Amino acid sequence: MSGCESYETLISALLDGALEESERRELEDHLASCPACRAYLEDLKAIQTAIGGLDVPAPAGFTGKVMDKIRAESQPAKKAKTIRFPRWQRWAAAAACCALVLAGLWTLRPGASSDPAQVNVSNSAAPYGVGDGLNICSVDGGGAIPRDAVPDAAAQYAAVLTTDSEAAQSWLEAQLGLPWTAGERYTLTAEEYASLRQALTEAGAVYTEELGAQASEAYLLVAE
Amino acid sequence: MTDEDLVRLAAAGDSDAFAQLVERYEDKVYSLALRVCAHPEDAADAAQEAFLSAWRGLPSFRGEAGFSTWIYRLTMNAAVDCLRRNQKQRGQISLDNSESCLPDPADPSPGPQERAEGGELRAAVAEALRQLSEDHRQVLILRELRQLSYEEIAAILELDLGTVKSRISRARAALRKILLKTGNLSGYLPSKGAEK
Repeated sequence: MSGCESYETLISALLDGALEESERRELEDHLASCPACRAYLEDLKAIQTAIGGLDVPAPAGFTGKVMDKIRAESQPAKKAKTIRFPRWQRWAAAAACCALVLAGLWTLRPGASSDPAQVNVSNSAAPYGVGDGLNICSVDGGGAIPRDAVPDAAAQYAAVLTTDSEAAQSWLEAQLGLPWTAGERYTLTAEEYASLRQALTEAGAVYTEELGAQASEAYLLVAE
Repeated sequence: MTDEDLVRLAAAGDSDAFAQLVERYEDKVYSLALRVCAHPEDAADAAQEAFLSAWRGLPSFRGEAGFSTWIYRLTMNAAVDCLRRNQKQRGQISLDNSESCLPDPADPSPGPQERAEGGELRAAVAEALRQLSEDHRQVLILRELRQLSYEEIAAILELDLGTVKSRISRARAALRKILLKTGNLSGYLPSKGAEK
């Protein structure tokens, strides 16, 4: 089929019914005089039929298994997943938050220095409040302190979403201006979480979602 | 009931309506996943993951492209994800666009049934598909197995129409080349000389 490579695309499009009338005429003229291209067309037709016959049934009980999973997921979040912190740690966390708030207020007082290295309490972290008796604060020192500076306690979040999808990576970059690092965790507000889910759904991305404490308003994104 | 009716009910939390959608698409979704993953167990996992993603995403699904396009997109993503994860686990690195994905000897397909029912060519094509690059395999199975239009394939794989058209053409040529090499298409050539 030497010299006929340009007809490969036309032959392929012919099989898909995607040729313009003029292209179809041109191809027919060529096929009439080129046995190699006729053979090529016949081969592609045979391949087409063969692939079309490769459908197989799903394993027995497939729908039942999927629905079992779905119904299990729809159950209310289990308290068993809650990771309880010792009482002294809860007080320590609460005290640390208070100290940060006070530090923030101190730096924001009239006449305070405008040192860019100062630590401010982040407004975006506001929803990370009371969750199952544990106060969690997230601080944002001008971007120097990561947003995931929270303990490993899935139950402290309204939901935990785990993914390695590119859609999540670009969402994180575009919406929060944060680089994607595998193994990293990012805390999100309810609005950010809704936006992330929307982006993942639109992209058809794969992710797992674990529902957590209903009382919490903070969400967690886990980068796989 | 149409897909749209079932999607509307399922989005409102009706799991029975969703079960009907799963039943309607399970074979098509599983077949697609199987041709991407090659391993039946991986394909079942990927197909399940696709439906779970659909269930989770239903509240924000706008339905512009139709449920079938959406579920096939979720399937391809889940299957490719599964394939990459497993290849990583098995120490394979062939995820580039070269036609270098060697068949896994552990894969039982095409099985004896496939050979008996569809003849040698179908079995050979199933085998050859696995040797195609990931990109070529995806467009070809969406086109030939699901008979999707260029527009639908473009939406599923997020490609432009021109790329879909040329990629399908190249995928067919690549698959034919493999089949010629294995001697499975020699009967269709008018003569060996004509091919050269």
